[in-house]
Amino acid sequence: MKPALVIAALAAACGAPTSYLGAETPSSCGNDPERCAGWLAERDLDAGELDVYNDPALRAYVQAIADRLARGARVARPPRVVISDHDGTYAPFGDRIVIGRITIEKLGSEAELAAIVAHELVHVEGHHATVSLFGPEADSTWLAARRDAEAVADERAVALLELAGYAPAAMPRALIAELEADDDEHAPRDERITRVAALAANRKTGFEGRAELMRHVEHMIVGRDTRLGVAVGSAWVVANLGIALEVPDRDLARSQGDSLVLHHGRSTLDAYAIGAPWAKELATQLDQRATTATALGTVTVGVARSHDDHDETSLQRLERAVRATLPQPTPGTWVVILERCAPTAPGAPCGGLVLELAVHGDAIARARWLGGLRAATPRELAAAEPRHIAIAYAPRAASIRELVAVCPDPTAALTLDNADRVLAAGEPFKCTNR
Amino acid sequence: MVRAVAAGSRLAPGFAVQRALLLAVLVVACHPAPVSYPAVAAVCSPARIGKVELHDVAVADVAPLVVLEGAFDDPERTDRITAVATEMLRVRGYPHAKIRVMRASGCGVELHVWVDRGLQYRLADLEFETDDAFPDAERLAAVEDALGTVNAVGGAYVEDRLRRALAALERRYHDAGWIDASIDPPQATYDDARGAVTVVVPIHAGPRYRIGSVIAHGGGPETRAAVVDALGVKGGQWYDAARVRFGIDRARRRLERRIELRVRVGDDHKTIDVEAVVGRIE
Repeated sequence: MKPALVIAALAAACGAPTSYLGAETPSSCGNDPERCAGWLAERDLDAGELDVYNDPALRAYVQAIADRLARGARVARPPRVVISDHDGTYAPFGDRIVIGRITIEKLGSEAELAAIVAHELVHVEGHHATVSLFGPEADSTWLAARRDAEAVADERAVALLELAGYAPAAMPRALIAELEADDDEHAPRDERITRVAALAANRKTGFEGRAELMRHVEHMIVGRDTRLGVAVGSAWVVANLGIALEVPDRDLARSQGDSLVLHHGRSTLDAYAIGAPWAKELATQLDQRATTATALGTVTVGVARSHDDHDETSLQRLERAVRATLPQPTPGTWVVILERCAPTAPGAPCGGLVLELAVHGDAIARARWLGGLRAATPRELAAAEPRHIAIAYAPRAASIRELVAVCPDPTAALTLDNADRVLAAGEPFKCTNR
Repeated sequence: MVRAVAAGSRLAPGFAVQRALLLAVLVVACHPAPVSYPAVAAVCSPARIGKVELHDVAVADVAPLVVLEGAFDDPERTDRITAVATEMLRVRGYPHAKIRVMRASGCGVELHVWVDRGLQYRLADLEFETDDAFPDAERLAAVEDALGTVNAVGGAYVEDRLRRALAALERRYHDAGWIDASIDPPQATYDDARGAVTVVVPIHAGPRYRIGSVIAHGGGPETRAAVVDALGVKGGQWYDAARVRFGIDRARRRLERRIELRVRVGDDHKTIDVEAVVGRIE
């Protein structure tokens, strides 16, 4: 189940809380569970997981696509679009559609983006998240309902494209660009593509909008946002918070997405960034809580609390289920939480760095790791900058495979579009900026 | 923007109206309607559902069916989705809801949908007829469903879900030492006038068993003592299957040996003997 589904269920099932992750809940939480649930889901992404991609122009562009599609759908109002900073694309319970930035970067036209939005819009229109949460409970029936919902979302998306005036042929192309591994909740990739291709019947009439999409994704970050954590020289740098953590030579280090894992003997350190409100909340929940000084100021230390659910009310269990979906330390581990805003400019992002330490009594390793916390240098901050999309123009008619030779990184550019797509002279295509 | 307000104020004077108009204009200015593109003609095909026609039905009541418009016509899938939509009405407190779907030809296949919701009920009372010591809160938590909106007081009553939950609750009774426990089917009484349903669940808990002996077999005396220590349970305690399983796992980890668990009801039919059999090192 998507984390946001559980979070949002709180609003519908038990009455929403008056505040959530440091912000007052909107008035809709008193009378409109779906709208409230959408707000909670977005708050979770933003304040809990640092997972909202902050590009108002791009968001407004995708919102306009959703608005256009919603005119043909039987929804009371268009759902609000949120662009997440990773690759998850889904429709949580509530009136939100979450489109992953990494989903957008692989698409070749506005019509293809509309196809992805249309698929999610059908989930909203069909109340599919509600069915997942409150519907059939037996595993096999639940799974059958999920598979039906996914298939219907693919198929009806073609109809929504037609009604909104987008080229139906974009639907199979969008699935080809996005689908990778198969899972239990969807039909196999090839079957999905075949079915929507049959409905689209290769109809290319309608708006395609390649140039429009290219214009809106120019300068968009490509791939993982390395400002959330990347190795630079001998340090792990979280540029969004202006933090560096020295990685000792003799320790084994590996990165897992946005987190860093260090091993020294039996001791381990797990470091990851989270939203500031969630960091504040986690810090207050530690057992044996204390503060200690580091080069970056005072940090909160303590032991992550374990839960005893015997005497919990259903509301408390739900709240705990909600919290369990956010990034957080394993119960029983020794934790350091550092709250910090990037010192670059007023209004720069704030967040928290969580260090989970399983040191098995190795106080030296713990002290050494904590002693390695410092402010990132300007050079490190520059090195942590992610790559962005740069638009180039075809000098002649050719396939993208041939055209990307002019890009700074042709291999990376090939992952940003269908390599076999043939462009006319003057048409735009995506490169990375370095 | 200013001109628009002025025009409005002439039509309907008054500060409140001006303010409302200003707000409306601001909203339009901040969130312009997207440009429309001409629709692409739909393909009418006997393989595709061209239209879902609702007959005096709210869209929200049959939303999973509404989105079949434009999808492939797959009667079996339509039946499954109709069942899901019906279940969603039951979850909202309409236990007798019925959805009727009729297929017709038009632009491709047309689906016509009718809904008979029936009366809406809320679960007014849920009573377990028993005097056993199983924790009340745990019993209620075991039967509630759909994040507390079903089979909890104030929520909807869905009988088949309660029956499945009661089967699971019966197993929890067994694990907690009431190994002869049985739970009868729920008895529901509907009050149409109040839109309320009261449910009684008879539970025959029987005696609660204690742990009889805790013995280890195999290995040397020290190993056996270590196994019993790791099990963490003693004769005389209430039998708790989860605790015993946890103990045997702990013993396996601590001793790094293969250890088999055996439990058997004591001859007195009041106790359960726990035996841990330590495997040989090969």
